[in-house]
Amino acid sequence: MSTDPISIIIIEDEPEFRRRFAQIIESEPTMRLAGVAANKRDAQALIDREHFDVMLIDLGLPDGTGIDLIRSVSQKKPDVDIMVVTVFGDEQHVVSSIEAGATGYILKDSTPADVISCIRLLRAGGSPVSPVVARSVLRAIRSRMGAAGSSVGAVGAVSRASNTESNPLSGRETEILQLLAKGMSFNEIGEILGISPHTVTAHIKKIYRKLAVHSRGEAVYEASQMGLLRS
Amino acid sequence: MIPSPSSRRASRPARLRRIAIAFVALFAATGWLPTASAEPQAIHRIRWFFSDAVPGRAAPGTGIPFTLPMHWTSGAQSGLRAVSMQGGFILTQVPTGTWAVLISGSSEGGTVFVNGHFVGAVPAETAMRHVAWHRPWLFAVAPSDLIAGDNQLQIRTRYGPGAHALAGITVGPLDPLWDRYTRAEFFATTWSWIGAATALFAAVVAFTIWTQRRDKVSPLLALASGFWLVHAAARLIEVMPASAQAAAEAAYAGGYAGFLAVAAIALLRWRHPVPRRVEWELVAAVAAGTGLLWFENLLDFPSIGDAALVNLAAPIALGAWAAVAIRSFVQSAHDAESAKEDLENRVREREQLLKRNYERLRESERLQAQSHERQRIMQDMHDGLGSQLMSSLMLVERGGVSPDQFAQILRESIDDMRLAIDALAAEDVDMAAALGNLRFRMEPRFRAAGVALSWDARTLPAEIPLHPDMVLPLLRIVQEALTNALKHSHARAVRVTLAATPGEKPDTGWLDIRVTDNGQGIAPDRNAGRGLLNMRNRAQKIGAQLRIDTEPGRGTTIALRMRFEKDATAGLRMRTTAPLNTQAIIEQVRRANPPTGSGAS
Repeated sequence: MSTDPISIIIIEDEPEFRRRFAQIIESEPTMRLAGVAANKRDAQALIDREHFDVMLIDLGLPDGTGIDLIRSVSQKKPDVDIMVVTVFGDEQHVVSSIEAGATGYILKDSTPADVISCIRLLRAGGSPVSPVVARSVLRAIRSRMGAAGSSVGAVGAVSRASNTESNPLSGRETEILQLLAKGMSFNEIGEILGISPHTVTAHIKKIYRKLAVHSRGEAVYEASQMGLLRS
Repeated sequence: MIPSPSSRRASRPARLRRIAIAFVALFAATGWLPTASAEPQAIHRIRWFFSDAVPGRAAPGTGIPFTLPMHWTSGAQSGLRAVSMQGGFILTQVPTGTWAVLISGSSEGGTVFVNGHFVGAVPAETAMRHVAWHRPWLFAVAPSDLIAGDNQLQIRTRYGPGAHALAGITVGPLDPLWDRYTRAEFFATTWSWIGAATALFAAVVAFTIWTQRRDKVSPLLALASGFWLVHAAARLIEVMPASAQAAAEAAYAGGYAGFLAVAAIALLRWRHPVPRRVEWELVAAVAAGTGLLWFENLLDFPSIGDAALVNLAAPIALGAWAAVAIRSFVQSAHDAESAKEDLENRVREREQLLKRNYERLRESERLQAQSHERQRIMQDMHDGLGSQLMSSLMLVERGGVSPDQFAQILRESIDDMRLAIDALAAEDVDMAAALGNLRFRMEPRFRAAGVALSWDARTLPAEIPLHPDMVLPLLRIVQEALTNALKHSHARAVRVTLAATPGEKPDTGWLDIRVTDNGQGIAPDRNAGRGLLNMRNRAQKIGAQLRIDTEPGRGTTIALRMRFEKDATAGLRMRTTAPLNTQAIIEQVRRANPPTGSGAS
């Protein structure tokens, strides 16, 4: 791990929150604020200009959605951790961000301690998750596998298909998501699977990356099917 | 005449004129119009001798004079009689070319002499053999047999009981007589065959139609055709054993009479039905009349002239019937087609209507589901966030709330909001997941307050199928129990136990939630009492059992019990997921009820 401070850019249109995040980062010695932007255009210029380790981005920007920025940064700068700022932490925003390439998220009203620890978690190779997000990821995987019909929970369908080729997740990864969906803590999951809590979060990050690749891969597959790409 | 599209448009006089011309043409064909040559002479008078040994040139003034055409009858007791009929014709000079004798419509046959010379013979009646000729005869006469002046022609023949006729004798050059002969022969013989064939065909067709349709007219037409067939057959058989004579005559007369009677009844039945009784009266009348005529030997064996008309009558009648049948068939086919088209149009219309109704139904169901959702959200906002904010407001207004405490209050409100969003936003709301989420949300608060929260959900299945309307209210009750334990009980540890046990009936079960704290218990004061009553009411509203065990200084246990059933959510989910494929449903209905092509019947 590098001893340089973690460089972070903030893309947030509401000035109060922008100031708040900036303040949190600037009061932390191991982190450095590399820049702020309040809209998409400024954000793009900032991204092209600066080198940074973490991008904190709010989806609701005045001149468009931040999803495009997430997608382009995750492809051009794969080492960057992208953290989405979300009010609800709900399925729609978080999962679509993950599919676009985000590796983490924080709630807009998180305490400074939460923000710092989440950034550290990302840099350490893990990702945050909640029961809702775990379930949403499972559901996203299921819908991409095209499982017919809907059951009461995404959980059942994915576990049935965990051995098929079309499921990009490994058995362990699926199991982790299922336990998370039930509301189990990292410690409990680590106990059950015989791994450390840190390994659990690392698995989550891998799961997020797989989801992003899978959704990107789908687009590529579809494009090549339509004859838009040449292999 | 058989009506054609063009003739229907012609005026009445024009049509009648055409019919008249046609008949005249037919008459001409029978040879009644005078031919170009004036030479052929008709013999109109003959002398009758009851003997066939009369010399070829009988003395004038002898014999019984008769005029041609003539008919005579003989009684059964007379037996076989011999007869010579003699007629004369004048020639100014002996002709150069061959001449001929044309005998039209003689029923008896016999031998023909001209001036005593043999000219020709036709089989005549004997004791063993009966003859009934219907055709003309043509015999060539050599000029050497003829003399200038008075010539004598003699026919010697025999006849038996029954009716007989001799229509006409014509003498003249061969050529014109040959033409007359062939024309007459056509109508006498060929037309009879045509008539018989037509009758046979018509009989078969009418009979087949009757076997298929079982109507009232076609069996009669078959019968009439059968009668005509019998009559034509009798007509065509001209030489027969003597014993068959009576049968042949009966067939001839009976067939003709039967055809008349049955065809008349068929016509009546088709256009102007009369009661059965009247039909039988008609048959009886025709039978009686025919019988009377036959018995009285008044039935003519017709001559050439009548023969043409009578022989024509049946085929023309059957032809007219065929034309009517064809027209009726074409009309029926047309009706069936238009009925089918009409039916298809109506089915299409109904499909459209059905489709619209389905879509309207689905739309109203969708709106109902949406309104239901709205109710749920409003209810939860009232119970959850609403009450949270209200009590927070009371707290703040009372004063004594520090900024940090204020921030905490607001944080908790945001958390509540998230709890609701998590539960409401999910497509398939599951109790187990909602409880897991509740734990995730509540844990930080407990951690911040330094209270240990243990969560035991080991026996809980991955999915608990509760009705979506139950999930959030139940969650709120648990949340309130936890909040109470956290804020008011001053407990150091709170234990949550979740368990699901199978019920008596298959696919049912019980969900047990227990929140136990080791705090100070709930004092029986007014506020706490109201809060607990509120909790009980909420539990009752969703049909959950609530039990509160509390003792001051000994902690509190709040136990919830909720029944769940496997397919509780199935019906509800249908409303909000896949769109109704109306086209597929209509296709299914169509396949199960195919429209019948023969709409006319």
